[in-house]
Amino acid sequence: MKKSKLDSTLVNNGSKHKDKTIGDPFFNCVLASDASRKVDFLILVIETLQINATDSLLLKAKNIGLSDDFSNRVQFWKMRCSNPLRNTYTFSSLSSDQIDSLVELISSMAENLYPLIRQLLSSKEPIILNQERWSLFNTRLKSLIRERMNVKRSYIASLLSDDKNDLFRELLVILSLSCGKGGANRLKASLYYQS
Amino acid sequence: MINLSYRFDQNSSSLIISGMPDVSNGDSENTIGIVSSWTLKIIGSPLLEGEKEHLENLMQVIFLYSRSYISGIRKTFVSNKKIITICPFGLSHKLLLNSTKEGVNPLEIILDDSELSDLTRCLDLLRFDSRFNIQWDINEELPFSKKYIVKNLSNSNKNINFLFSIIIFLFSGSILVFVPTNDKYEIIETTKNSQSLFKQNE
Repeated sequence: MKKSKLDSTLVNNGSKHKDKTIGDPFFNCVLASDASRKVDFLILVIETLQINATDSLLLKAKNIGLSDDFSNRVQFWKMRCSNPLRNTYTFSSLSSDQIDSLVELISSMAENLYPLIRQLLSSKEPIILNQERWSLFNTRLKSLIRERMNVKRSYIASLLSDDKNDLFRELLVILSLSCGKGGANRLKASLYYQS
Repeated sequence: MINLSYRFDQNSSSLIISGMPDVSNGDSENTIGIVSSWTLKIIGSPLLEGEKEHLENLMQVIFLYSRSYISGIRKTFVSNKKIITICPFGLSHKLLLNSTKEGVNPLEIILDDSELSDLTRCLDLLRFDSRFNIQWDINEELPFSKKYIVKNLSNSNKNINFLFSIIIFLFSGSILVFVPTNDKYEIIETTKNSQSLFKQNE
């Protein structure tokens, strides 16, 4: 990559490797502590938007040629149990290969669900219709959170009691910006830190 | 001379790029190697057009903003020569475009989240399109440093948990200071016992 022409004071993104393209761009990077939580919540949003999403996820994983971790529901569930906020937390962490596969899977599912995500994020939609959509989305997502997450955790309790739903909107924005190849790169970069 | 034109549509955004193959670079007849013009139509705003440099500036700013936004960071980005600026505007985003021609007022476009993602996707399509043999001057998506994220997170109560824990520690510590120890009680007990033993011996 050539050197950026952007104003250095504003464009400096804290990255030490801003101008390098040679080699692995994620060399010297560590997985963020909240990566497994973020990934699990993104899949939960996909499940909210699509009924029987697990089947679709596994089928999609098969179609894009992902690893054995996606061969059946149990393996997939075990990966998701690395989220410490889950009822069935397994004290495990995701490997970088698993993160790559999950990012690819989320990105391609987000592409399929983009029209729905867009409808929820758009401010140009009729207000009443938008409110109804958000109400349905919130109810379904909260019921999934109640079912899968540890409700004794204060973070989950605050999510369930909060009416603003800032996190839910944030998750939808992440999904909308994760579509396609560029989106997958963006999502992957957001799951790592420069060490 | 072959003049090619490709179009990228993404809901509210529509980008048309015109150009020609760079024969000196060995481009095929369907590949654009030299961009002659571009037009971008965002629904509800005027038609944007310009040269390759302007498009490159727009791509740089939009990609950086989207990269930051996906990490929860909302901050202003300005391109070189201050042609394009993007900044948060309430829940939406404000795109400010300054014309390179003199006497033309800056153009302001307000984008909501869905329009921002449409525009980002549209530019993504262009960036990874194999029909273009152009080296775009764009920053690669890379992880931020932890320090940068903490510094720029819009969440204002990020230090509240730490402050709250210190207050709890001081409060519980001060309560423990006032709790009387039972050393004195044990001494009285032992002296009472020794006194009773002494009386029994008498």
